[in-house]
Amino acid sequence: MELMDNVILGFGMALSMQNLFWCFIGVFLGTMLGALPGIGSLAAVSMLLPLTIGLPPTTALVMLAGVYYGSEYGGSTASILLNLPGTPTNAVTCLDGYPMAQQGRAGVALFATTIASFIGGTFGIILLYTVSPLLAGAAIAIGPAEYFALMVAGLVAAAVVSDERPLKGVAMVVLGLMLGTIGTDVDSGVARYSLGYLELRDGISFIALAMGLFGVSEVIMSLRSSMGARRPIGKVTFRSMLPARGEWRASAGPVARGSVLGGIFGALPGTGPTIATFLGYAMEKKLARDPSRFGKGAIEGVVSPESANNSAAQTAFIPTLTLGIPGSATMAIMLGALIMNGVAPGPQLITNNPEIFWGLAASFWIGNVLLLVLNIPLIGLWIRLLQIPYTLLYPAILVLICIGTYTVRNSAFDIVLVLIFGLAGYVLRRLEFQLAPVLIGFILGPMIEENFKRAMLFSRGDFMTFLERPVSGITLTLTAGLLGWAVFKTLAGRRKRARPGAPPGP
Amino acid sequence: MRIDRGEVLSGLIVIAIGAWFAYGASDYRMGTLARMGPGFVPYSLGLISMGLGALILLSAFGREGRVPSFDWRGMIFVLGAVGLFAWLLPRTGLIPAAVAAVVVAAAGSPLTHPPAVPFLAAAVAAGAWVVFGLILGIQMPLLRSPF
Repeated sequence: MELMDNVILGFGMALSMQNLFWCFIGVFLGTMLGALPGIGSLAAVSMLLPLTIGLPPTTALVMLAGVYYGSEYGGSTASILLNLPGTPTNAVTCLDGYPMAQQGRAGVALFATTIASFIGGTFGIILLYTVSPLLAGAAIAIGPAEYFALMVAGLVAAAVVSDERPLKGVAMVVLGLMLGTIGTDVDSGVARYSLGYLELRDGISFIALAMGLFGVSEVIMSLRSSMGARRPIGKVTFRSMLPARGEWRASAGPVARGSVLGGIFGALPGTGPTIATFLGYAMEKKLARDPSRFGKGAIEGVVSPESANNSAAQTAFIPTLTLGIPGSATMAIMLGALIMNGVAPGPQLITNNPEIFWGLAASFWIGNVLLLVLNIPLIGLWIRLLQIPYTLLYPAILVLICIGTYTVRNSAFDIVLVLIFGLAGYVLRRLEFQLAPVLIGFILGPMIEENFKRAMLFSRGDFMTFLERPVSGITLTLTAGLLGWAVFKTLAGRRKRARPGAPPGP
Repeated sequence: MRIDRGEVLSGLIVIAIGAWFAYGASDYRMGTLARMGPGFVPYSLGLISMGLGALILLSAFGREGRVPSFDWRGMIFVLGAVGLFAWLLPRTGLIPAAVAAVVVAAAGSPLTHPPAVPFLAAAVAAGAWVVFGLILGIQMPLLRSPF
């Protein structure tokens, strides 16, 4: 059994003391940061990335993955208890989680979320184990034209989905691609846009970009919201956490459906956990016998999005690890971490570095187990953490961002880049631009350029090569359709402007 | 005439960034379609960006909208703290840089409780030294004379 061999190889790798230890650290710190209001998984992963410098690549990724799903989970705690979603993904959990907390059922909601997350995560990992080798096998056969087409499709999909003005997302992807051209060109050795700075010859540090765009701009955005105010939270005891019999039964269906939905949407580029959670919630509301209970503390409305979220968080690794195409900004950071550690992501990863791939996949499951054992006893600690005023937190977060960026290349210049991108990120966010596409474009930019140039070299300068080859032709045609829709929606949409900061409605 | 000023600004920003990249790319060789030089891809991206900016600008007409308000105080103090940290770190070392950054950043929020700031600054500087200096052993000057 090939699958069994892979599982054994993976668990052998993941169960080493070093990996277990860093997995634990990652899950713990991730949950802690995720529970803090205003820090989503993206900010958590980029802030903790510098801690992994010097670790072996597998261990580094095991820890970052722990941070990733730990923070996704921690975000749900903040949503349920305070109605403060750290990320759009968690906004859905607020809809029914917060009413549950107001009714004194916070414990049940938190417990049910933990279990639902675990089941969803496990399902996602099973998909990761079974689908990835097939996809990687198919991907090895494709050439630069197909690669170019797939990456462009992934970028456009990531940019236009779930946005009121999709063209602004596309503009941000192009900005990311342009930022990616800064630095020495591999073909000619020309240092593009270095502006005379030696530091820019190596390109922009993607940590500085991520920290500025997401970390610093988030801090400025949060200053104005009500996060300084303390809110009382009721005590949560272990007894109060156990759901009643009827609630177990009511949750089984939603968790199963949420896991499947999340698993599918997580793997598609651009959709990811956010869409999966919204769809999971909407589906349960449709299927419910009494939809009016939703929004007033229905347990189905909490467990379905949470299981979808965690399932999607796992399957998001499928395209990232097998094709080297990240579906979300967080996945782009994971990809960046791999590249930084000298591992080339792509279809060859499974064949060339099987221990990394399977070790990672196994550690995901171990991380989910840790999440379960860690969080049920620690819920009380997270609640106390949530009561720290934001005015004490944000100066510390800023210093952490600065030191973190500095340690990656020992360069104070990179901290100045954080300042510039922080300013740009804040202005762009106030103007309602989505910033995740910038990072995805930035990471994929150099690969897209290289494959584009190679494909054009093979075809002797004929653009038709992209349309004549079936896979790239179909992909690019669909992408063009998506772009046409984006132009139409941007120009024709006359809906009222969404208020900035308000969670998007389903 | 109805116009969305926020979208006008958005469109102009996207056009300006595209123009900067396209103009900058003119310094590099374009090459041919079969053998592209270093300038070809950034130049094309700059043009695409300008086109997208123009479309966003176009979408601003016929609807209402204002330029969003910016939190100037938060912006100045938070970004100032980052800049100060970058400037001080190589000159005075980690501890003064962290203290200065915390003090400046704390001034960015009207809700900050001033007597707490010295304690916070000391705690952050100590925490940074323990985590990054002692535990992770990262090479960074802790305290140095600027002269």
